[in-house]
Amino acid sequence: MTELEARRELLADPRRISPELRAAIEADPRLGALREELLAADAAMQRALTSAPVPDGLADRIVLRARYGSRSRWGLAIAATVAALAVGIPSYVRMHGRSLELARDRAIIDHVVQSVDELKDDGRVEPAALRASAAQLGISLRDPAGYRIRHLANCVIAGIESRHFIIEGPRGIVSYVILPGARGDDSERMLHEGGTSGLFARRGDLTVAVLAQNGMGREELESMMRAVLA
Amino acid sequence: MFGRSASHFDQVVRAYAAELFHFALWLARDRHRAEDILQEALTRAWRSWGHVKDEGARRAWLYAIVRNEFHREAGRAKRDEAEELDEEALARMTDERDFTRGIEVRQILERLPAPFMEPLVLQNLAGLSCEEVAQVLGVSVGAAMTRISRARSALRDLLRKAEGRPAPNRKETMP
Repeated sequence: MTELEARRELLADPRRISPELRAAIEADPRLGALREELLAADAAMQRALTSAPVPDGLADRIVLRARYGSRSRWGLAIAATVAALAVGIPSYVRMHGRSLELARDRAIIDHVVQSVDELKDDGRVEPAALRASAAQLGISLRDPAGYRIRHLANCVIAGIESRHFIIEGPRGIVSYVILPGARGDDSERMLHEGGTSGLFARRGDLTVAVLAQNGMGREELESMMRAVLA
Repeated sequence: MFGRSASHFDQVVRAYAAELFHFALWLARDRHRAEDILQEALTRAWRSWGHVKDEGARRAWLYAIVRNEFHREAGRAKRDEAEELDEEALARMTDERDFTRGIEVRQILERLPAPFMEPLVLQNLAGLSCEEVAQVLGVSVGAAMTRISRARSALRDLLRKAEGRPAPNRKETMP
């Protein structure tokens, strides 16, 4: 490799270097110095490119808009103005909050329906591990009699790290999701997607959901929620 | 392999949102525009999420969609043809006398011609190889390498000037 070829390769990419270029650098200190200078320039450039703070909640907004058709930032701003003029800002805030809750609830049921791999039995998950995992989000769990835990995972749902666990017992397989994010006191709701039904409710600053594919109605889901979530 | 998996999309968005935002910000030079471009781009990405068969190509694919959305939004799809490889503009920029000591890197990045800087930004911000940069830009690998080399050389010259050091002999660094 000639010096000119070595300089050409270094200028194209000083990080990925071929064995031939490495040998050339070892043989010529000027090439090593050039590489160091180019790497320093790249580092300065990267610092400059990434110095601007990323908007809070950016990933959440992207996921919600992409998958659930949330309105754009400008759409939300226009809606806010119209709502404030029509029914006052407090009403808008309540409505927007409910829209966000519904989007998150849909994201939860989508996650449970589409993550078929998570229905596989992971073998025995220790109840203590599940309780500890839930406690990290600030929620206490009971040990439901006659049930065993098939699966426990930290899942990103609507851009938020959540807990998803699945138990199996006399009433079949039931999924639970705990998602950080407060919701209204009166926001408990049922959603259905395909053969899956879900009950969504508030526990402190969390959204909790219990979902099943075996035709459970609201009363049964409420019972399963009470059986597991303290 | 992942198909149109919602949880996979969530994970990828969470992993790359920050760097894609910085890329959109460099393109648009405005935070609000950058977020709008990114949101629209990833909405489009979600619609064709399952089309990417090689998961290793996912990152470059996302950058290409953000770039396309920027050009679509700005109505500047022909920008490359208009400004492409204007070597004289690049040379004038690096020879300008008002590049005085103390100029910030950010200012340098804003002043260098975008067609040259874009491949270098992609390589630097996303860690893409020359081949991946070429794919994102839709040019040959040789063309991508030429632009990257020119941009990196100009950046080096300007950083030297900003630090009050002499620029290197051009023949020393420019192949």
